Amino acid sequence: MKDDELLMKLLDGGLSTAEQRLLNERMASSADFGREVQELVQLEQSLRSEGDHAIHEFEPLRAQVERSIKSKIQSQSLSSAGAAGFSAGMGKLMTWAVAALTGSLAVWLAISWQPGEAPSDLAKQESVHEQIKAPEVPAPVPTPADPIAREAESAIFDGSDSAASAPVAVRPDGEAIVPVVEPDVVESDPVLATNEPAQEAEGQDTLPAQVVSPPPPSSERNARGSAPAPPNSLRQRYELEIRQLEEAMEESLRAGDVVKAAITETKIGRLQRDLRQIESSRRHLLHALAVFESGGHSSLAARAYGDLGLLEAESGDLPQALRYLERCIQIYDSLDSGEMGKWQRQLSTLQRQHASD
Amino acid sequence: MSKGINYEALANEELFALVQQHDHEAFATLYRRYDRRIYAYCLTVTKDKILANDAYQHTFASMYENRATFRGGNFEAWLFTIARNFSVRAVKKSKRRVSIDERDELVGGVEHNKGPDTLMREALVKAIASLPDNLRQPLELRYYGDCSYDEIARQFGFSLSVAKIRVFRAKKALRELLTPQSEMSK
Repeated sequence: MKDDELLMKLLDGGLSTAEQRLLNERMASSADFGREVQELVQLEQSLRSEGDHAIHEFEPLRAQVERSIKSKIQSQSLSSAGAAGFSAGMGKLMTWAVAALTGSLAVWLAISWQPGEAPSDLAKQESVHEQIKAPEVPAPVPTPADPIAREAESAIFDGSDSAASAPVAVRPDGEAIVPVVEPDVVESDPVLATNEPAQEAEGQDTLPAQVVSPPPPSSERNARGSAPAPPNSLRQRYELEIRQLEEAMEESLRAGDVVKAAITETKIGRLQRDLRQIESSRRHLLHALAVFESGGHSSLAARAYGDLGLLEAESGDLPQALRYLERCIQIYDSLDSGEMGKWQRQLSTLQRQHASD
Repeated sequence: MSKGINYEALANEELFALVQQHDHEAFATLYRRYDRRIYAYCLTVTKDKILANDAYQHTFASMYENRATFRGGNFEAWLFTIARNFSVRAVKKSKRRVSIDERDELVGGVEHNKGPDTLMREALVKAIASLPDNLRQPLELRYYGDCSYDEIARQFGFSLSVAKIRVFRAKKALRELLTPQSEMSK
């Protein structure tokens, strides 16, 4: 066993008796090594005490933040309960009012309508009757707890004026980024032409050949610069492919092979991205990512981050796209993978495009 | 535990779904899981305790205020992204003003009141701050964030052994920085 391995184990408290004996022997035979051990042990103690000290200093802040957010949650909870009660009450009142109005009009129609009236009048009355049968019930007042309000709130935080509270995307140099989509990437890089930058990365993780189409000419691209959705015949082939992949995924899950299922899920996600089914694509890719991350499959996780980056670029959320791509590159970098360069080109092209805008 | 829910047994995403419904117990559980790690992470990015405090507070406040923007998926990654963004922003803001340390130095310094322990701690903190990021960040998560090697590996997307080696290399680099050259060559 090497000296460094022994030292690592010593500092982390994992030396066996035999290893301890070996360490003692080496310390006895080399004064330098003995000094190094002593200094590192001392440093370890200092680091632990510094960590404890930092946490001790941090405790009042920790407690303060927890208290403040908890009270915010409680007050939100109370106000949304109040709003929900108000909304429910208003709903009942409106239902009662509409029912009363419907009844009155029905009575009025029964009294006033005479058979044999001109067809145009009858048509008018039928039209009125239709309106009565299906009254327009006003939408309930949205509260922060309901999905409509959440959607609105989300739009606020996704907006450009979110600097004060929403997370912002930043480049490595700290500059804020505004959403923009890069059209040149797909055109200039033949691998990226199908929005599949790392198809050759993993042999088993490539799209079936029949669904990969050449990029459309730039004139077909829309205003944001992304490629248009595939034509109907191609779309049908994509959809068929998705169905087949979904079956394959279920089969993998039945067999208990969660990772294989997740790899299939990423393929589904990519196809859905090409079909502009952004939400479904995002859901599949995020789910696959969670599986890869929890299983420690770094390379697959990196690829999933890359796919998510392309998806968000496609959806127009460039800050999110850049975040995902940066994470993808970070992981590939730590793995010393050859895939990194490809994704770095993608990232820098997106950043360049942003800078030029 | 309230409403018969065992909060500790819930996954992050499940807890956050409850936070979105204003469940403060779920928030407290999530907070306990991440407070130290987020603080350590803010510290690794800002390299400054005051800035880290600032970024830390904003991170958790923003986590709750922007709960509707969470689209599902990996909660941890989302939370750390928020922490990173606020930390970067704090650093950027701080560059626009003269730091307190610099001001202290300008008015004559405060060194004379410090005891040996304080000076040693300061030397250690300065040495940590001078490490290259790839060594400093895992080390800070380990000691300030009280993270296991598994958590460090997950955070940076590398293997467990790489996490251990980076922390160890950081310690060796610190030893070299803190030990006078004359002693090293003895």
